[in-house]
Amino acid sequence: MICVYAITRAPAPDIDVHSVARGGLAAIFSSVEAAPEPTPDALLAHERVVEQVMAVQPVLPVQFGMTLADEGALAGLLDERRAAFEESLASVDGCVELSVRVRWTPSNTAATGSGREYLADRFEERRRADEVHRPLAGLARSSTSRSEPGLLAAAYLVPAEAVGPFTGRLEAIRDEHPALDFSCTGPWPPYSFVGDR
Amino acid sequence: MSDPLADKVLLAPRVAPERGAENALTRRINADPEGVEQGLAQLVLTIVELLRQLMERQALHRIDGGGLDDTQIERLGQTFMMLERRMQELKDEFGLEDSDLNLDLGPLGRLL
Repeated sequence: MICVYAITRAPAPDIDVHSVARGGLAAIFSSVEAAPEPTPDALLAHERVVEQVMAVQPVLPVQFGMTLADEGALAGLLDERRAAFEESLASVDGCVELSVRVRWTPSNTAATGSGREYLADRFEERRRADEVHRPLAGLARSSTSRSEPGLLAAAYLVPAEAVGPFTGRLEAIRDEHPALDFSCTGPWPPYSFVGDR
Repeated sequence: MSDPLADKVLLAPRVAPERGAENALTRRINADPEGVEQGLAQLVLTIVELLRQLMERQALHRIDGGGLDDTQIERLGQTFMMLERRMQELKDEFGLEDSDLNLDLGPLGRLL
């Protein structure tokens, strides 16, 4: 059984993992006895492998725990999904993922019992999330977000050279919104932007 | 112990986030005999929550478009308020958190 880390363009000879290459595509994997358990250490190790590949070429990170029977099955997958993989690799080429979470105390005038006020709160919540998300999305090649009362969780696909300007803009937005609590992590492999792998 | 992912923090939150990673990794619909009722409730409430969010979004769109009068807006608001309250009661009853009302759809990501 093999465990797959990432789909990319060329083998990764510098890392202690195996590669299978099929005409312009490559998959990074290692041999395992059984499907790995999602312990923090195992997840971190998976992440580090994907990042080492990401440092030199575009990657499609594979979700932790994906196993296949053997190298042949993996090569078959590369052949079968070639067009989709190539398209996805082009779409993330040169980019990293930045994750942004914003928390605030949700407005709660609904305690008044007014339906109109309740909906006004929902509007206010969405406006807040939009005020943060829109300008950041403008700096990204692609973005995805979800929000709920008191939380915006978003991911941005940002060209590697634009990480600095992105975090600069985020800091400016933070300074404009003292009531909001921001966090930003990355750069990550483009986990949120690889479609259905 | 130092956090191995500390180098990933570009902008730290003022308030440390709760550590829910362990829970998120092991989250599954619970289907053993004792937990089956709660597992089923979790699944049903997840679907209801999805519909509630979609309908609420739709309602906000319609209000934004100016297609509703004051009475209709008030009634819509009351309906969503009651629905949210009822959802909260059901979550409390089955010991579920907001974060439980989600499904990992594998390659499709999370439902909500």
